[in-house]
Amino acid sequence: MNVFSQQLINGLTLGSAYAVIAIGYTLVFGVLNIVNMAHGGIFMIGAYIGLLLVTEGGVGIFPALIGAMIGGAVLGYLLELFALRPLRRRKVTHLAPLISTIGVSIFLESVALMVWGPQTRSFPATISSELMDMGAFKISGIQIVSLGTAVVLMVLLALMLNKTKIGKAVRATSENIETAGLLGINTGLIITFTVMLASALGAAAGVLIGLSFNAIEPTMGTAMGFKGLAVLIMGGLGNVEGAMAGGFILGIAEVFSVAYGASTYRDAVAFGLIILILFIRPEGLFSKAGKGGRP
Amino acid sequence: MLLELKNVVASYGNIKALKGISLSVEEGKIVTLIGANGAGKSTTMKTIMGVMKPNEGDILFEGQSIRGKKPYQIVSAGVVLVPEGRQILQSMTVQENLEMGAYQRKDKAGIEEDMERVFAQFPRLKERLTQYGGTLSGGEQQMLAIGRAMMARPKVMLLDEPSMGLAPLVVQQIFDVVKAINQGGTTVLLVEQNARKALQIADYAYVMETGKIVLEGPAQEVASNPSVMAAYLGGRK
Repeated sequence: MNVFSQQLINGLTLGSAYAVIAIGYTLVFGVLNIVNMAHGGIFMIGAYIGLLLVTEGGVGIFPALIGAMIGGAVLGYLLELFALRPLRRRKVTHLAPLISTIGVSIFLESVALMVWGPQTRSFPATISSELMDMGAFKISGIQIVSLGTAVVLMVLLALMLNKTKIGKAVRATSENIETAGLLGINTGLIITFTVMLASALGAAAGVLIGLSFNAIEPTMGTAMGFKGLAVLIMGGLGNVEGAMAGGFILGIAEVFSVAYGASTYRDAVAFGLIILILFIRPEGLFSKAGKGGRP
Repeated sequence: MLLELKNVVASYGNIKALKGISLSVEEGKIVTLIGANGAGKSTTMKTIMGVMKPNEGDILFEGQSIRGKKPYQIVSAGVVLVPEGRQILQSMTVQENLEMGAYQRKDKAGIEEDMERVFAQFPRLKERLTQYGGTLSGGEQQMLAIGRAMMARPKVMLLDEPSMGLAPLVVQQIFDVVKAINQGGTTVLLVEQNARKALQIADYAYVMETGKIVLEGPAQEVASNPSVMAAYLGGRK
């Protein structure tokens, strides 16, 4: 078996989940120009919803995933309603929503601790974790589900943004909110929709990461939140393609640094790579003129 | 009156940009608003569109107050703005920009018909259909901005400095198009620094200075007013 192709598959699987998280950040940044620090919290709640639907509800992984996404969208709606919209009305600085979303993130983590306790939980072995031999590499059922779901979600998102009316409205609002309003787009509605969509993707990523690592705990959102943030910046703020590429780069970098002997330095290597990329392209990998550098 | 501003006051922070503007736009006409830089012409447009909220006064469209309404609500009432600096969506194609102009419309056949109308007016846009907005030249971007506004099929079209920064030949084309749009039945409120050209095509004119209307009248009369000639038309006629 080829170590390289095996690690590539592992990296792609992890990276696809990172990409889905980072897309959530980048969508919200696009329309609101803020970093949504509550995204990690919603990711974690999404993982729990998926887990509970499987363990308590007895449903399969795909209905659980959809349930988690609906839960995430509802949380996104509440987040927008209570933590973002009141601040937007008052035209406060960019720091205020940063703090309010950190507040939401801490709140969600505390609720999870209170309700589900601090212990790590895992999905029951309903999905085969047996390795299938594909010749050049081996892939587990979990990996197929995780990678496949992430890719399907990204393709659906790209289709929505490029082909549907509401998707184009999201892009227009993201590029210039004033122009979008002048074209007759109800930008308030688009913002709410975007936050809900981003949160649904975050929750889906929670289920995928929960499956891959088989570990769900209240603090899982924090570390993942930072990684998503790093990918957001690496890919170019507000850029969906950049978030996709950045997610895969981070995932592959992590997996390879473990595989080739630096498991203790896994995060150091991955973040070192991001720093290096930012040295070369401070505006992010895919940033377009006029948007990436905006504060 | 199709569109009417009554004693509108608007400000940026403590600075009053509009100090009680009253103007009327009669249906089917071209009304122009001329004046120097910083007179408050663009602010007037933004206030009509709901981008800026007036502190005092009222804005009526078809007799109904549209004051305090959001931009998208004002667009659905039938008012559309071709903004200063064109504000083309750079990361979207020409076709997508035009589609976004018709965002609130659901009549597919009518939208396609209007798209053809835009192409008839600006054949260049048809050639550039799949190009990104950001790759167009200034003149093409202005054509796209006007075409995009046409796609909303508005009752009144506001144009904010459509000739700014364009080559003379293109300027003439833009003014011709504005005239044609008006002849097609759309009422026009035109803000311009190119007072000479604006007064040539307009029916009625308002002259603005530092947030106030200082003169108004039929365009030809305003054009022959000595102080207007001195200040905006470069001396003699």
